Amino acid sequence: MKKVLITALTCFLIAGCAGKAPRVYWGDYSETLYDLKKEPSEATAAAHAVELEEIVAKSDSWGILPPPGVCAELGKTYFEQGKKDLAIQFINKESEHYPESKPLMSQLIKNIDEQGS
Amino acid sequence: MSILFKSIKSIFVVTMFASLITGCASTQFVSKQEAFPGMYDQKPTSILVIPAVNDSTAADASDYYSVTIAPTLSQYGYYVMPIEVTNQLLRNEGIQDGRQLLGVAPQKFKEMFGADAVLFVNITEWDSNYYVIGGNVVVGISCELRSTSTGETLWASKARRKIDTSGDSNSGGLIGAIIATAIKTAMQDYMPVARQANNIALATLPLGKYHPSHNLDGKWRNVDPEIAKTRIE
Repeated sequence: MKKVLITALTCFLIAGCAGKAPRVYWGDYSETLYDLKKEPSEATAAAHAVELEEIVAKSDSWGILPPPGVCAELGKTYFEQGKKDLAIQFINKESEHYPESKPLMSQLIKNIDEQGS
Repeated sequence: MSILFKSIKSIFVVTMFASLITGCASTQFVSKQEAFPGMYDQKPTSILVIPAVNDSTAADASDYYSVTIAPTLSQYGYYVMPIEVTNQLLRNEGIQDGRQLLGVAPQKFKEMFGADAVLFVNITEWDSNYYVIGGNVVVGISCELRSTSTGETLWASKARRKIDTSGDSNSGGLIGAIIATAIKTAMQDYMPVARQANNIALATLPLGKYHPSHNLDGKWRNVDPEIAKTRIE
């Protein structure tokens, strides 16, 4: 009984604290990007791309906004991989989530269209 | 009469002196609103982080530092422009080093990126130090946020974080301790040190639109006015 009470209290405390801060999930973003910068290779680039995808997928599954910039960075990554449609899709996703990114995202899409044609 | 006047004068001098001493001894913290009124007037929501000005001995510090700042800024409720994207666009314009942007009118960043404010960072330290049986890893940063509409400084801060990497001298004797220190210092990842420096520096940053306490933190008295005077030149 005591154990249950303590567990409930802990959960309440954690939830209470979490509710205070904006709920943003960054996963291992800094770590995988740091590895990529330290040793640029196909493997570190792929690991960071997977991390970006996971951050977006987990945020979506929890019903929270992906962190600022992550969809745009994923769009940039897809573009570099030659996946133009996915690139545009995620750059649009960034400006849907964060209207303050709209001017820059529109510029990026314009750049992609110009390079693609 | 003149004796009375003299004694009043001496009391006055003593009181003045005492208040000066206490003034020096303890920092008089001011509120966020008092220190950074521009933040509460302009309420910037989007921040562009440009490449840091690197004054440390590590050539690649600016590149590595850039991976740590967006998560911290977003915890404070700001939209952070995608740093990997904006840095790429700046590189296309021939800009790698933040020093190249110090003289640029902040308004230019509104035109180019649509950001409300631009964050200048100066990396003052990014070092590993060894001394016989001890060692540490240090990250020091100064930050200044400028408005892209008025060009004024909206917020500024600085922080220095040092993590001790001395080996345990109780096991394996002196040689063991030297080796342990060398390994610990070499293995110490800069990421947590930089993150902690960011957390210390940003503690005085007024909370942005995406934080539940946005606009409710103006009276929080945690700003050292001397640190708020930090500028990057």
